[in-house]
Amino acid sequence: MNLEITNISKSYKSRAGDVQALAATSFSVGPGDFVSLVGPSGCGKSTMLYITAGLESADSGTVELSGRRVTGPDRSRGMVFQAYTLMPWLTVEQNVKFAHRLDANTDYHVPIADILTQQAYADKLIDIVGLSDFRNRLPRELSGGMKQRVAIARALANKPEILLMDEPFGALDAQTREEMQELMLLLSIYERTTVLFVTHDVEEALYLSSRVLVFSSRPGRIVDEIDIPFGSDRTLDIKLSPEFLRLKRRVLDQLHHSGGRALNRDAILERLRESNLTTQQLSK
Amino acid sequence: MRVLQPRQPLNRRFKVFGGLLGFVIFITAWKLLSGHYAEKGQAVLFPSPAAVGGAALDYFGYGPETTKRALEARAGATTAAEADRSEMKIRAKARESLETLTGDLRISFQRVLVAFLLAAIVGVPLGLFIGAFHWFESILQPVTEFVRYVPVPALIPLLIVLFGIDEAPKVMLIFIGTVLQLVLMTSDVVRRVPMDLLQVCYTLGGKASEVVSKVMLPAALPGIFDALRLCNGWAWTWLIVAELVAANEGMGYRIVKYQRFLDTERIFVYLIVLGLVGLGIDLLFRLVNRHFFRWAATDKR
Repeated sequence: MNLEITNISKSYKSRAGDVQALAATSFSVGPGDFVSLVGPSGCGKSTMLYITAGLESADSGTVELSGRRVTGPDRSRGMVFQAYTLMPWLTVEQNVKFAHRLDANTDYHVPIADILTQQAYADKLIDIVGLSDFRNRLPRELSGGMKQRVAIARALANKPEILLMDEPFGALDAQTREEMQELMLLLSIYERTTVLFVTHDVEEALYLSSRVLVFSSRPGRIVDEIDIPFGSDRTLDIKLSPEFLRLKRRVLDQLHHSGGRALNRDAILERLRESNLTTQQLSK
Repeated sequence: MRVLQPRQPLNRRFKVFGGLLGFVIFITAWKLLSGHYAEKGQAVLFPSPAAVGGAALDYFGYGPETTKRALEARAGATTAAEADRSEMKIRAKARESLETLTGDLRISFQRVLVAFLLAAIVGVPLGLFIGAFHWFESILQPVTEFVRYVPVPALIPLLIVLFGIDEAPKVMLIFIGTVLQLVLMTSDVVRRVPMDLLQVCYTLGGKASEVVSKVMLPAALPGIFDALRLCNGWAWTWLIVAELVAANEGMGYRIVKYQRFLDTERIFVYLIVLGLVGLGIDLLFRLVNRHFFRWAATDKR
């Protein structure tokens, strides 16, 4: 398994003309890697992921997975989305085993033994993500964190060569988010999952990844690449270690430099002072 | 008053009370209006609730009108046995109108059912395809929108020319009147299935056909069912329109006939029966919906 991304670029049409979302970008993900793409919103990191999944087309460049050119979505690249994407009419178990409803996994050329192993593996995954008591529940009865755990189990149950994750914990509260990060880290280590992970949360990226790619704001391009020095035995505590904070500083600096932000501190203070003056004048 | 706040939930007792209050207001208004006609000596044009209730009882042979005639017949009889016989005869005669009513209801129900099933068989798949495939939508949507604005009753003469005056033109009228609504509503529901769900299916190895059959269809089913429920209401409307024009039995036909005899009380009875039938079918749809699509139930607030 080797993901090779070469010179991918993408622009969107808008009323104001073409907007370049992604400048020609290249990188690769090796077997067992956990690679995170971080960057400000609108930097094209999610676009990059969707192109890799084959759900969007690129203007130029190629995506190759184990030497095969990616032309559309298929089961080799599983995906976990930011929004809750469980099928609301199916139970937790039926959702995790959704792939078994598809011809790709049940056609005559798939031996029964394989299907049985897959089913057993899916059951095991429900257990691992801690939802064995909820396997017959409907998604509407689950919390946000539980829904995302089902989505992760569903993607893993299909044994993708690489797991693509688009801000999967973005909608969760801070505490649940940390629990999910711990789960994801252990899953990636024990299940030897290769992951391409998109987030705007720098801490999350540093904690989970073996490598972090920092994107600039639009048009997105890679401005920094960090090999994370922490081993697989890392715990949530490392988020407070000097080394971690140093890396965090480095990434944050990159992000702040790369984007012309309308919401920086000085500008806000300036506007606040102005409005203060006018209110004082009005009250006189 | 907290009840006056928007979306403030109501407790059960209040709800029952509200429902009853609605009926009391309705019947009082009806009574006042009929009283207004009665003052002018035109009670026959707009019967009071009591008169309609009496007429309804007459269908079972126990209304005031039947009883009056029965008593007259008894008075004219010479022996007790003859009196009993003539009373029985008059009451049995009154019950014949109940048979007319059930006969009308049966034939009308049959027309609606056939047309409605046809509309569902044609409309739901078309709607699914329009909602799922843009190329299909581009071909069919404009035509559908256009045809939808042709007033359906305007088709009646044409339908009679084409299909005669048997069942076919009535079924066709109901079919045309509901199928287009159904197509548009179904396609709307299918269009609202979140893109994410389709993409999940693709990344798990699903084919395009599977995305339609295993994601879009099941996700849209509760909405489709709701569309069917609403279209059922439309079907009954078109049924009456069809029967008003050319029929010799059925609910609409009978209403026109009673109009000729200025039998407004019975018209009211038929209207109430129609309302009850509609309500019953609606309730049935809701029950089935709640049973099969528990996953889609929305919370009250």
